[in-house]
Amino acid sequence: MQDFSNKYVIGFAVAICIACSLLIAGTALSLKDVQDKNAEVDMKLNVLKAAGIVKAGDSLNQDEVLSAFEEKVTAQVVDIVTGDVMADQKVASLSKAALTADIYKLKTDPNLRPIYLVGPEKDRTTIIPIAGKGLWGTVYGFLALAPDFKTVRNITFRAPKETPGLGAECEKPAYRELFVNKLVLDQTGEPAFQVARGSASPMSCTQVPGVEHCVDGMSGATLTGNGISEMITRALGGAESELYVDKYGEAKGGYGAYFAKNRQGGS
Amino acid sequence: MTSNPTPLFGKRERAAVKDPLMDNNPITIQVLGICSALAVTVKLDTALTMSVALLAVLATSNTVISILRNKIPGKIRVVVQLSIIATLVIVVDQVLKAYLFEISKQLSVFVGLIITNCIVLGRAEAYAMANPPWPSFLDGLGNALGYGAILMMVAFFREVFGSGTVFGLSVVPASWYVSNGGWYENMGLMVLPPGAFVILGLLIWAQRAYSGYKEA
Repeated sequence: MQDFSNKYVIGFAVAICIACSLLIAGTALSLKDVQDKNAEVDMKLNVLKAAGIVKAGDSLNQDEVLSAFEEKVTAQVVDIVTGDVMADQKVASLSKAALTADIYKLKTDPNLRPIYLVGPEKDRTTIIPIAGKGLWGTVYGFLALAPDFKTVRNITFRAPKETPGLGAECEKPAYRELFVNKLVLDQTGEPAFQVARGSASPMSCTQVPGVEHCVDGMSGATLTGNGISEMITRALGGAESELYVDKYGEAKGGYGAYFAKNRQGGS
Repeated sequence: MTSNPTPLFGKRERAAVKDPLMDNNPITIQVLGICSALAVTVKLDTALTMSVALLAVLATSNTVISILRNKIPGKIRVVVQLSIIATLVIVVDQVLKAYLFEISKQLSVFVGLIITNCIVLGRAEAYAMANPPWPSFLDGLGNALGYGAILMMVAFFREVFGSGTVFGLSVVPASWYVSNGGWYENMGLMVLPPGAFVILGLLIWAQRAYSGYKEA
């Protein structure tokens, strides 16, 4: 093998680095629009799944997802501190972090969150985004609630960083089924929900009033389960308590104020 | 560079494609790339996407590394090879995220893990560094096809016995299933990683018996 000078070795390394980074940057930039659209469609599809409009096993193309969402879902922007619906704001203009309730990335419009309403006024399903810490990264999802804002109608999870077979089991329909018809608020209206360690029983559901507030844990994924308990309770609580406002004054709590207002004013 | 021009499909070129398909298969003979062979073979569509992704990366990386082989300083050659391979893998991953979003979600980390797939670095170091671009390209093609063929075989058996489908289309009549009053049930073992171990073990056995391979 030829003996190269140190200068050449360093120069070669730099050249390779520049060439590789240019190629990656170019690809990422040119594909960004298509990828963003995929992400948008995926999010809307998850809302439709949480609403029970799209069943597991249905396959829809992108346009069908967008038109079904347009037709069946009312998307509104809520100020979670006051609980008011902001009629002059569009959901589409919210940042990605606000759309997914990803409090770890929230920088802009800290108090605004989307809310999705599906079905007739009398029996309306309310869908909110939830997000919290799994073991390896953020777990996202949507929680669909009955008009009492207390009974779970459906839930979806997206756990891209969790271990397949352990934490990522929460994405499976069989696990999500367990949440249906569970109660997420206690008698006083405070958030109460727990993912147990092991199977849900009066012995394991210690943090909540009863097993109707509790689901089985996933074996080998206690921390992911804890994250799910935390994100559901936070999503239902108030936005303003000190616990949920960080040093920048950004509300990181949940839709408690909105629920309080709409439960009284509504049914 | 060789002094006399080599034929486009001479003996060496044919061997570069053919050997890794049978008698020097990267999975069944060299037992490389097992991790992804176990992980992505529950369904045929993910296995096919993974095979095509590896084919794109391996054929391109072998060609690029072979073109640069006399320019790459020996002291940093593995780092350079890895940079090139990693770049190609990221590009492939981005393309999948843009155009095959659903499948790329299922493949999750495994496309990224092509970087550490021993087959890719192994071919770069063992073949592309010592051979001109055209045979190197064919060598990459052959090895990727050898890898893909095994992946598809494993995925075929796992999907048929585990889910009763081929490429998502049902092949087991619905009336056979226990839930419909029949006698048939999908084999749960096949959708779990141990199912892949069993299939892969049988394939390695069959291949080695056929090739007359003896452990050195």
